[in-house]
Amino acid sequence: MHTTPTQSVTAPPDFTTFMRNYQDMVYSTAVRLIGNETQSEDIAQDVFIKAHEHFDNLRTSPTAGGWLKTVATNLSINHIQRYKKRWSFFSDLVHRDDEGGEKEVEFAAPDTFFGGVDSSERREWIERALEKLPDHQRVPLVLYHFEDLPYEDIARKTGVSLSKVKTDILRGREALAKILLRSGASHEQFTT
Amino acid sequence: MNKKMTPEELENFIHRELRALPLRQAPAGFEARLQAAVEARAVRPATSPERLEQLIHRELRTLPSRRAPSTLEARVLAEIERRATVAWYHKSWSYWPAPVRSAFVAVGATVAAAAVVAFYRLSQGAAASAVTQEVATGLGWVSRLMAAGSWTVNFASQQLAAIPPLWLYGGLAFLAAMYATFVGLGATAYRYLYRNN
Repeated sequence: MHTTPTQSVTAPPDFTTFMRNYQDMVYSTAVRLIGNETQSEDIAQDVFIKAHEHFDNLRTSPTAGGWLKTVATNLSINHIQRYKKRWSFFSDLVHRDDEGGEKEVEFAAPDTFFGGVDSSERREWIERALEKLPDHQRVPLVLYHFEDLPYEDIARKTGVSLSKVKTDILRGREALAKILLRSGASHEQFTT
Repeated sequence: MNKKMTPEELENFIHRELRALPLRQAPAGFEARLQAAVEARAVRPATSPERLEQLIHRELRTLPSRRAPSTLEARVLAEIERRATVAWYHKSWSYWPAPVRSAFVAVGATVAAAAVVAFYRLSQGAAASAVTQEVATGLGWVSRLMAAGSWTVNFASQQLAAIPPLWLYGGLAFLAAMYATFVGLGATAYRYLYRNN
């Protein structure tokens, strides 16, 4: 928990405490979805501005954490989609979307990706590997593994077909595993 | 003279020729490489999608929350302060005070009702022609604007007709080439500057 001595004239003191309790969770949700620290801080700020507007209800709500997570997720997805639309014209010219059927994953994964790597280094590798994934793989992957959303909900939230969600998540896992294997255990041999 | 083949004859001919090809010899070392690949797979079988899902899930779920930047709290509080100082009439409707919102709804409804009544009376009464004349006088600038627009279009079409076709098509081709170049440069810049970052 942070102990920044900042106090606000307008925001009630318990809002500051509320924010300190949840800011890591909100920031983590945003940064894992967006993959960019600066933009995620902006999103986290927007989430807490909204929370401040609804603070009378959230103050005593037992589901405040869930509310914050949902708002952070929705704002992050909106942000990515807005950004994607802005660039989609150029993106479509140079990047063919890999829609297609499910394919067999053909590499031998070890029981753990990180033999002999300490835990903080290991966390750093995984976070960096997530950031390296393209948006269309990282977003459904994060929604599935961190937010526990089923495929159908992910398809609805991201506005893509169910089959594409499944394919993107599979490809995302495959890409993530490759990055992790290269990073954490370069002696591992695998082929895709 | 060669007789032209029917599609069926062509199919049979190609089929015969292809089936008559002898087997190709495997390249040197193929057997050893195949044997090594088979052994490697026997030692470490290929991962099924389900197994991969479990592995990735386990790795991701062990991650703790990421630490929010130390600047976040100060930023949020500063933004709340800033918003608190913005006057209500500079904010969206939902932030207006309740009495102001009520008054706005009442005034808006009154103006709308008055407009409906006035329109109904005009459509029924003898004063309609006088109103039409008044409006036409007030909108005289529209006809002057249209005349100016029409003169501009005529002038432009005359100038365009005076340009030799070769120059015209050449110019259009140049513009198209430049457009394609800039789109290509934009796509390349996006690919190598934005996506790689």
